[in-house]
Amino acid sequence: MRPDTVITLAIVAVALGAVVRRVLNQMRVARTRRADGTGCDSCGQG
Amino acid sequence: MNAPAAPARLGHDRPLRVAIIGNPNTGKTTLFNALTGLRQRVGNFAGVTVERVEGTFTLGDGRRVTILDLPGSYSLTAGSPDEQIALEVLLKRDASHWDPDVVLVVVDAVHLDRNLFLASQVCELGLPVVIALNQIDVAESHGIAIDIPELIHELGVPVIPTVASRGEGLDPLRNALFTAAVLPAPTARFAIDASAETSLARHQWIGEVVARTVTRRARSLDTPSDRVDAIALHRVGGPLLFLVIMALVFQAVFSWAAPLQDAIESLVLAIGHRVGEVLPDGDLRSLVVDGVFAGVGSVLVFLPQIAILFGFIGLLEQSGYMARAAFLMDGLMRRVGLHGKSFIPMLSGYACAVPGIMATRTIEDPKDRLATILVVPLMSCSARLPVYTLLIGTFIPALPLIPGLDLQGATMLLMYLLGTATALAIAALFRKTLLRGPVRPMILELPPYRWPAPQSLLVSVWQRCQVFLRRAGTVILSLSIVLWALATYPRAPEDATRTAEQQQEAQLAHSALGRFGKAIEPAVAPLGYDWKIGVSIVASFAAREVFVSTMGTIYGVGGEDDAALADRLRAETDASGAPVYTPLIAVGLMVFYVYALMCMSTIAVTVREAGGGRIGWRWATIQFVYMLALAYGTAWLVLVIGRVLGFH
Repeated sequence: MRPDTVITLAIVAVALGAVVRRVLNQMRVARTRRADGTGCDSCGQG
Repeated sequence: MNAPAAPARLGHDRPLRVAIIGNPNTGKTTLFNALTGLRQRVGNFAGVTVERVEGTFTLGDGRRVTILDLPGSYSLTAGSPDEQIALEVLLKRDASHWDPDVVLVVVDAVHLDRNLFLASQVCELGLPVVIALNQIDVAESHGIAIDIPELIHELGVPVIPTVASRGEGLDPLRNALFTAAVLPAPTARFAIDASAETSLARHQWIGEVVARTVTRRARSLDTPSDRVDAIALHRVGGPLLFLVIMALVFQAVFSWAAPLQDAIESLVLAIGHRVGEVLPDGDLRSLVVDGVFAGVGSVLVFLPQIAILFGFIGLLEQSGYMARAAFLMDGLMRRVGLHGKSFIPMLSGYACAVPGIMATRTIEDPKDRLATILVVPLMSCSARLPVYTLLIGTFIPALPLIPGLDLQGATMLLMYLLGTATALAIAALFRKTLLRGPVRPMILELPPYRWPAPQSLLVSVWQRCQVFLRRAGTVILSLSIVLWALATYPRAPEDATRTAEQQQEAQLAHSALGRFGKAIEPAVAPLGYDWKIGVSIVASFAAREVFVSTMGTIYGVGGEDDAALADRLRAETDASGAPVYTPLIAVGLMVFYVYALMCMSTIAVTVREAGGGRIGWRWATIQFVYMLALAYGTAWLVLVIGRVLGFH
């Protein structure tokens, strides 16, 4: 496999991990009864 | 006599813990920001703080202070969820065991009589108390003189005059906090209960204190604020002025932002082009150019619009005009069955539905609160702005309508009004069906108009820009990369007979994204959308701006030149050569985005705030389904009616 393809796939894997983490984080927000943050989990507004 | 050993070490061994409390709109958050150097959101209306926010500062001699900003409250007999937060901390029943050493009560000097109700209750908790007599400058301009030594004598606690917005009185206040920590707590006069007898006795005592400490100079009833309000609150002139202001704001979003937007667009294209030249041909080059630059870059160009919109909103909030807008809306809100307090959450929804839904904690009645939660996402949030701006800027001509307003500005205004009007209509529906209950009036305080502090305004605009850039650098970046991968793999077999453009189209169709898009195309085809729009809508469930970045990535992968996204959309044709995007399709798509709940953060926070667990999920499902049905139905109607009227 070409080196640039390996780097590309690694970047895609990291990005995919970030997307999955975001989904899991939202699930955690939904499960929490009481807010402990300062606003929107994705944008920080609040 | 020496001071007790333990309190004297406060600030050195551990920070002095100070809880700030006060009536809504007394300047608590402004004082908190001035003391800590933090930048919590400030507004010239009640209900801005709905959660506990913590900050710290260090004095010149190294002593540290931790301050907790509590939500505004009129009394210690808490009614709404946000008032409950304040009460739990002061009664040391807070789950985090954040026990305050000193309570700082912020009192509005203009309305001393009303503010002393809460202040006197706090003085009876057995905790050391300091009172910040804030907005003393405004009180003086109203002809109100307060005998501070007499007030200290009456209340038995230190009273420090402050002007938080200008940072006046902060040093004496900081010293008073440490001094109060070693003083005995004030003695209790009344019991803290909600009984009518206690309240009456307390009000009588407050009246006597005010009579002994406050003198009022006769002043003209016709203040500048009164003169402005004669127009701003007029039955006909008020709503008209509100519409004119909003029209000017949205027109400015287009007219003022255009040169800056063009400059950012040129910069992004130039950097993308340059990077493309440096990187060798291959997957990595395509990822950077077609995925990152085409995806994230297509969203970044809307930064000027965000800055201008929030500059105006900040100006209207801090000047005190938004409180007038709330007053104008109150009658309408009550007619649809919503509590007047619902205005602030709905207003917050223009920035982001998540803080808007959290702001519903100021509403005591659960049914009022739930009805508001269900309609807040209909207010057009800032994440919709890139979608509207892309579609309006690309497909709606800038035809002048009236001086100062063209068709682009009017279309944007219409989208915001459509969301707001529908929110009110849907709220009325919920209040007459699932969430039936009595309508409660709201006591609304109209603050005097103030000149917004330029620094505070700039800070609030910069914060919104940071939020936007953070989203572009996190959620939009990672999704652009993932979508690029889905649009690139699996690879289509090379065919020498195809042109480069045909090969790229074949690649898109062969990719995982293309196959998924084709699979869902029948669902969006009745709305006049092709698979690329369908995929972009689905992807934007992560964040609405992702609609724009997905378009950027799809057309980046599928096109060979590095033209701006708007040019690519205009040039896109279907198999028959007809344009895919028309003004009618663009309007339908905008209406879809006005209504569709394409935001998983909003769903998550609705689940939590609507009660959590199965109940929370039930309400979140109702919200998602009704909004999707509304979006789909109206977008379809726009297309059908538009075609009947001869539009294409």
